[in-house]
This record gives sequence, C-alpha cells and structure tokens, in this order.
Amino acid sequence: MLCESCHKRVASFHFTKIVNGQIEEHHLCDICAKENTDFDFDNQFSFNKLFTNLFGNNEIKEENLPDITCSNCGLSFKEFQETGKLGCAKCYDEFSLYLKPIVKSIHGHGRHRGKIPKSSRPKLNLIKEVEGLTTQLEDAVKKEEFERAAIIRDEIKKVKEKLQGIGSECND
Amino acid sequence: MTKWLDNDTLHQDVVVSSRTRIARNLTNYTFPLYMSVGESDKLTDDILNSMKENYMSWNFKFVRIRDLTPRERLSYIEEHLISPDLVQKIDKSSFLLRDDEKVTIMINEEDHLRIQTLLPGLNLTDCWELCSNIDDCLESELEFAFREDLGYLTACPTNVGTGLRASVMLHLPCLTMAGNINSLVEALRKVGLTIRGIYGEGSEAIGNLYQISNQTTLGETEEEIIDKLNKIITQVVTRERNTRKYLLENKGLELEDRLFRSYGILSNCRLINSKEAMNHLSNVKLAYDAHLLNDEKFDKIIELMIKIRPATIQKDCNKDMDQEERDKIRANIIRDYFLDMEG
Repeated sequence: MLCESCHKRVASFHFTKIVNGQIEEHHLCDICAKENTDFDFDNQFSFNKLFTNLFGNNEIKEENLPDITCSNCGLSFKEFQETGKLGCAKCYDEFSLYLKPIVKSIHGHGRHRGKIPKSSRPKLNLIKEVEGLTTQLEDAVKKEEFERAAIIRDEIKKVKEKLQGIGSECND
Repeated sequence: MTKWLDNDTLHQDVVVSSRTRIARNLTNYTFPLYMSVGESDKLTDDILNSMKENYMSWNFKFVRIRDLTPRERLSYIEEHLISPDLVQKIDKSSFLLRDDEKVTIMINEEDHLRIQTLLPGLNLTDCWELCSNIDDCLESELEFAFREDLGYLTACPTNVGTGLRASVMLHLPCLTMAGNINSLVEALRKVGLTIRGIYGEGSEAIGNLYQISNQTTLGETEEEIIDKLNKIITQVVTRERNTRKYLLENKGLELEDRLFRSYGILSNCRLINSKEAMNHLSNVKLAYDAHLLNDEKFDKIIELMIKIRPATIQKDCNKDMDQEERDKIRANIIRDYFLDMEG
C-alpha cells in the first residue's frame, strides 16, 4: 500500500482516528508520518517526562509548580523540571522541600549511607555524636535520672559548639 | 587500544568486563549543562592543577573533545573508554585516560567529574577500590559537593548519594537462545538491578552482549552495591553455564552446526555488516568457551568485536568510508584474523 500523502513510498504507519464519532483510517510512510502532527514523534525516551510523573505522585500539579529560583545559579524549579538536571550543588538546599520526595521515590531511600569525603568526616562524626547523646538524654529523662540528663545536656552543648566552629571554618 | 582487556580473569567464559564509575561535582561551579565555555575552561584548569602533583605518576593523557575528529570521538565510545554523553558538549568536555586504559576521568560530562575504572572479567571489588583511591586523591585537592543526608550531589537526582554506577558486561548467548532474557530482566528489576544490550537498540542485544548494573545510588553503601552485584552476577554466570551444558548435551549437533557455520562465514566472507559480524563472532566465542574450538587466540574475540565497530574501522584506516567500503574492510579484518588462526 502506498502512502496516502506522498503517493510514492510504501505506507508503514497505519492508524485509525476517531473525531466526533467519525472514524478515519490513515496510511502513511515513515517520512510523512513524521510530519504528521497527530503523532508525537519524540522518540528519544524522554526522561524529563518521568519527573513530571513523579510530581503527580507528590500532589504537585503542573499549574501550581513552586515558583522558586536558586539564589546561587539562577535556575528555576520549572527549568529543572524541563531538563531533569539541577543547576548547582546549592539547588539541593534551595529546592529541598520539593526535591526530597522526588529523590525518595527514585531511590526508595532518603539517606546516604556510603562514602564520606575526608573533609566532611569530622563534622559528620560530631553530628552523629549529638544524635547519640540526644537519644541518651531522652532515655535519662524517661527514667527520671535528672542528674545524668543534666550532664548529657551540657555534653550536647559542648559538641554543638564544636560543630558550629567547624561550620564557620568551612564557610558553610 | 583495548589494553583494558589484558590479563586473565575470573569467569572469563561469560563475564567480559567490570566497570565502576562515580559522579562528583565541585561546590563552587555551576553544573556542566548550564555552565559557559569560559567557566568550563576554568573548572578544567582547576582539576588539572589539582592533579599536577600526581599527573605524571599516574600516567594520564589529557584529551579535549573539541580536539578530536568526530570519528575519533566515536571510536573512544566504541572502545568503552568514554561515555556517549561526554561528546554532547563538545566545547566544554575533556577527559584524562590512564595509559593502561583502565582509568578514565571525564570532565564535564553530566557532572563535573566522572571517574571510570574498567577491568576485564568479574572484578568489581578491584574496580571500586581503584575508583575510590582516585577519588581520594582528587578530593584531597578539590572540594566536592556533599551533604550528610543526600551524599554526593549530582546534576541528576538519579545519581545522588554514592554517585556509583557499577556494571558488568556479560556474554549470554545460551540464555538468549533459550529465551530467558525477559525473565532475567524481571528478576533483576526486583532486586534493584537493570540489564540492557550493549550494542543495538531496545531489547535487541547484538552479539549477545549485555550489561547488568545497579539502578539506585542512595541508601546502600558502595560495598553493599558491589556485593549485591557480585552475588547476582555469579548466579547469572551459573545459569548461562548450565544452559550451555544443557544445550551441548541435548542439542549438541544443532548447536555445533550453528557455531561452525558462523566460523565458516567469518573465515570466508567478503562483505559483512556490523550486526551480522557481531552475531557470528558471538557464536565463535561460544564455541571457544565451550571448548569446541581450541586455538587460544580465540580468547581475543571481544577485542575483534570492538575493532570491527564502524567508527573504529574508520579511525584505524584514518579515513571516512561509506557502508560498503566498511563492510569490505570489516570482512578483510575478520578473514585475516581467522586465517592467522589456521596458519
């Protein structure tokens, strides 16, 4: 069967169109089918559209996407949604509220457990120390061991001060 | 080229190679997609300067994508030394290749840095160790974007966390013949791994070569990712071997006939396209791995598969060719290889 548009090449696309109950059959060749606006010939598997779907799950509709822009690189959240690529490391902080659920739905996890750069290790150790001490503090309060709780509270304060020191050194 | 395939290794009858790559970004620069050429030049200088101390000792050569001809670019891709994405931003991207070709540091691919290590056979643990050592060296001079909760920050949220993609290239002719690939795809998906054909599009895998890799990068440690892949790959290898054994025992003559027909075609062809050649070479590799062919030189079939890819042929001959000319040269290369065997 020949293409109904150019009448030269063999038709390789056959489709049925129903408009207002009217059934139309069409037969086109590769080239004419590409020019036909009825088809979305975005053949490259569009990754960005996957992101759009993820937003759907997170109850953020396209029309009320957050109107925010990264203060560091100037990328808007809408641009990120179009390309699927963030603009700079700071975008992760600026878009945090909306990115976190996306990251979680991609990976099924929300927290890194792997390698840590050497420069971040001292800071991270202190954060872990605070977390550990906080658990101990809760435990002490629960058991009404207020003397122990006071000691732990002072300890937490000291570690937090150290943490702030590291933060300002790193210009963080 | 294809030096990275040197050395005898584990499970070489089924596993071709192991690869790890990690994504890293610098804190003070815009990510590659949005950065200007000027900014990318500055970033490249920063990275090269940071490596100066180690540069010579590591034996890396530095290559800018804009300095390569299109066919040289494609040839590096066909040899698995750089990724297709690296040549998308011609003016911004470059790479450092170690002289044994086992390490590539790509600059301004999707992320500022992609460190790739490539070793023959099933060798993910060594791959990761090498990758991590290079990461440590770079990190001592550069400040990588990192957050305690999200790990290493990447341009695409799909790589955030470890930034690690570990993959293994496998030759699975008998699982393919037995129609088991679809169920393998399903099974792997359930444990967070993916499989795809190395060459060819969609589900078609030319030359029965597949790549299995981890899908997610956040929530598991690098060691857990590697360990999971190692365990699964070992199972896939056993399945492939069992299927080979079954086919040899139960359909031995048909299988031998099929493999030796391929041998005949490759020894005598005068014109052969890439797809046909790859599929026959896959059969010859299977015949060698199943001990139906004993010439030891047949353990270099994978190298030959790379050598006959379209861009590599043109690069080796140093000229652009139309398809017929390539098919002719390809047939010559293959016949020479097979004649050399017989001689």
